[in-house]
Amino acid sequence: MFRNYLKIAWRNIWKAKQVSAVNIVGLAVAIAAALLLCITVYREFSFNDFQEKKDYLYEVYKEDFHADKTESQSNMSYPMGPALKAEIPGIKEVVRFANDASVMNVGEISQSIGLRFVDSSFLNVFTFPAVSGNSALGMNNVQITEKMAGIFFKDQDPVGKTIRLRVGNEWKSYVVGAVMKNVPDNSSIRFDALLRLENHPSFPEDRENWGNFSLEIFVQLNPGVKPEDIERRGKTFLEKHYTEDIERMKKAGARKDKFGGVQHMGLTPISEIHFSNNSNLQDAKKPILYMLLFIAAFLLFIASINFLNLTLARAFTRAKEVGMRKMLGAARIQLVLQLCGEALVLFLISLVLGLAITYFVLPFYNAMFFAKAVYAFGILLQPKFLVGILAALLIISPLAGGYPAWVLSRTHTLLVLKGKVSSGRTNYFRNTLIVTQFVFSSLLICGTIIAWQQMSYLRDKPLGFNTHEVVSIPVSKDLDGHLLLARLRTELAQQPDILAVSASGHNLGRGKDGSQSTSIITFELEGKEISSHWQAVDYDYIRTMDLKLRGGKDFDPKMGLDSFGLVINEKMAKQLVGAKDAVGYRFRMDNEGPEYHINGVVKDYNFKSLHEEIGPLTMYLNQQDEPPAYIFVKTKPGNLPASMSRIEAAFKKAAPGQTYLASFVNENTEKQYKFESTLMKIFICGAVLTIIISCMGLFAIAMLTIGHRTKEIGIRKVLGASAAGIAGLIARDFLKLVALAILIATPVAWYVMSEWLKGYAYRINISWWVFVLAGLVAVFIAAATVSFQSIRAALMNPVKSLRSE
Amino acid sequence: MIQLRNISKHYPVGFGKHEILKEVNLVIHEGEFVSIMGPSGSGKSTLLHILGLLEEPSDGEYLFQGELVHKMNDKKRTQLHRGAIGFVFQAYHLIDELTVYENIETPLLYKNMPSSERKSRVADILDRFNMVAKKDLFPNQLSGGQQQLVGIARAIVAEPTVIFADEPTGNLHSDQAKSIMELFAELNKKDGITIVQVTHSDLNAGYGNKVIEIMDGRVK
Repeated sequence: MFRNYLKIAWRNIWKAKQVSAVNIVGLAVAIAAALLLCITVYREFSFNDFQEKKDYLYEVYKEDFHADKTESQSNMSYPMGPALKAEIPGIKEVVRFANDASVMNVGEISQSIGLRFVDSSFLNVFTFPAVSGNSALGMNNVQITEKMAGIFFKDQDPVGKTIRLRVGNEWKSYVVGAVMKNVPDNSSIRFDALLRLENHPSFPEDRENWGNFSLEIFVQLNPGVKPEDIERRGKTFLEKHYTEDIERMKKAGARKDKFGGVQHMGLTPISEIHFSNNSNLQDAKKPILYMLLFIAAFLLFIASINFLNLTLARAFTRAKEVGMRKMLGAARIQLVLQLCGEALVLFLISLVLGLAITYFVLPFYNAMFFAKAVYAFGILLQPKFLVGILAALLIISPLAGGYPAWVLSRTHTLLVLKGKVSSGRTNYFRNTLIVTQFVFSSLLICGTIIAWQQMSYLRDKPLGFNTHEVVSIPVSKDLDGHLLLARLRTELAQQPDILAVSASGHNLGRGKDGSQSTSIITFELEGKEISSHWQAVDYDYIRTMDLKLRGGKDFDPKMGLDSFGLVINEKMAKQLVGAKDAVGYRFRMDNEGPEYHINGVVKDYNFKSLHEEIGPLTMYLNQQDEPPAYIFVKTKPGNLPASMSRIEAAFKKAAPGQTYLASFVNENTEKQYKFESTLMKIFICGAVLTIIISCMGLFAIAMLTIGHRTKEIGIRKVLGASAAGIAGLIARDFLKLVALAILIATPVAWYVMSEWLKGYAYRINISWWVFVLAGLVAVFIAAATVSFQSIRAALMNPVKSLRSE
Repeated sequence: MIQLRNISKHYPVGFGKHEILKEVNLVIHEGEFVSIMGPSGSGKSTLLHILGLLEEPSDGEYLFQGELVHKMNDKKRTQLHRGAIGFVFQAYHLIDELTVYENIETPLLYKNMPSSERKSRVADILDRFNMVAKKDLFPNQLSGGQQQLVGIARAIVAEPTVIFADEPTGNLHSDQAKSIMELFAELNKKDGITIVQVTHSDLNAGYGNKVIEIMDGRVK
């Protein structure tokens, strides 16, 4: 019986080759896309899974509840680690570690590596096993990974050998204690080599300094201890060690967390750090992942609609067989099983093809979205994934195969015998499905166009300062910013293509150091609350950034170290003095404080991303105790790469051994829209796949419909219909459906996209022609798809088509 | 074995109804070879469909093997289609996707017959109809007469007690028709299968032992 079913299934697939091909290819493409997306999501969710103690491991973070905002950080201070273990019961182990990039040298081989300074408990707490040697990390030991061992020692056994590492600004020798297994791909904590934390250059001065936040701290809790208990005790802990900070915050009107403190010590489970905004190790956003899953399901849905539709359309030709089988004594359940079996066969073929597509597309997929080979085909072979695929197969095939089977098995035997099988009854259902597909296609086309417009608007909108010719150089914390700035100024002074050098406490956009910062001051002035961004800048900032001066002047070295002069933007000027000229205006921020005066007013410019409106901005001159965090260099337009390498050379000279993380400001500002551009790519790919799959379905449906109407078309032709008239007749039916889909999709697209645009302070207006364009695109694609078939039908010889009856 | 009591059949047409069969009374005994004759549109096919449990009468009682048909559930009817009733059609109605062998085998599959018995049954039938050489061909590779032979083979393979044949020779030329009718006669005499056929031809009716004439929905 079963073999018989399989045989028939195969013959049926083979008999309707074109339709089967559409079914299989459509499904395979959807399956491949879904698999790619699932691999992505699966990998992201498997982060840190390999940690054996993951149920007890948490990362410590601190939240400060200021009056107007909550600041969160997972950088902790040195003494906090031992204090946590000593003062809070329930914590079994504490691990502190610091990151550093370093250069490793063995003999003639030198290479930069990722170095981590860790507490000795690191290797007990985390699951990073040693391959050879003793994993206990001694004071003069370095543990290296297998990969490093391969690079530096080739086939020799590195254990016990000496290597040299650049720590801080000097070379030091360490003895290899153990070779560690390579860090798994899905680990948030990565390293090439490990040293004891005591070897960190800033350890001696910071070991008792509660005010320097530069370490990650993980805790391992005792079994049965709840993280909330630790968080609750964290309040007292912070109050004890950060008394002054907390007092100051309270004075400024800080809010309270759920435990009643203005500072909150939180714990992030290690399984969450990959996604948590509270962690420096965050590298993925859950909403995006859920969106990917949604798209995967959605593509499968669209392809299943094709499947449903084509099977239903073929019910016409299958009806005779089904009718006869019933007459020969087939029970309904047997028929349904048989037809579902056919669906399953088709799905299996699609799955195999889909897997093959996935295999070949994976490298391109990695390159396009992630710029690195992160996703391996091997993930698919893990048991969990195989079970998932199997489950999906077993769910989809009865759903997509079941309904047509049920409809078919309903066929009235007698009607078959009388030759009166109508496929008319299922047309409403079929049309609904086609409309659904094209609603989604139109939605995605609209979404793509609007998102594209918004993106190019954001990219091209003038920000009010020079972005293309200014280089931003992040200054590492362990460097003296003032010194570096002075040195760079001297170095670059003779270069003809360097126009100006300045510095600031905040970057514009997001640079290669990956950090963004904001300071805001709030004070009372004549009964009004004034709030402003607060930014330290160096001399020449206005000239370097090409800001437009509206009045007054820039900070000038000739004026000397003017601690109380300010340069503000128009927004701030309006806040301070209204419409009057602000230059020369003097005010105090509090009664005892110094008197500030306005040196200059600059035209408003977008110093933050275009998600936000321009806010009031106050710039003050860099003070000695506040070294600049970013140095800006303005170059002459023309040969930017050459200027860039000249700046790099000067930087290397001024700060030997430091990594050069400079980038042009426009690169930085574009990075602020990384989320949008990823979204954009997803949109486009989703749209293209949806349209392709929908059109494949439409193509096959048109073919089958024309097959049913051969006789009608023949008669019409004999009666004198023109080829164009017939092609139009066929196409019209389908274009009506597409038009309906566009009508449904337009308001939905309008609503969804305007909601999305609300996230931007600067946004395009959705114009009516977007929907017209999207509609035209959809109609055009559908018409092109159908026309191939309808023209073929129209050109058929009527004698042939009539004889076939 | 078959008893019809006041069987009527009508379809609604607008506000009225279109009567096809009017108070048909009929008895067919086991082993009979009955021919139903009458002009086009007289209701003979409808009568055959009612006899074959493919259609429900609007009124009246139908007893098949002493059981009231309208009281049977779907399962019971399917059971009868599997075992007791065989059909032969004018248009053969073979399953195009199946070979000759598979077409004949299908009813046995639905009877859940073990594979070995199935094989020997189909082999016997093929042998009897001299079709062994053609068993792997598909219906569209056969002539009309050969297709009808397969149709009959399929009808009798499950050893039914009655065969309903709807103009079995309607699409065949006279030589083929003759051999098909001889086969029916043989099945009736040798195997004792009750045969009910609808036909236009007096020649064909001559193979049977009883003729039911039907005119405007009434049996004469």
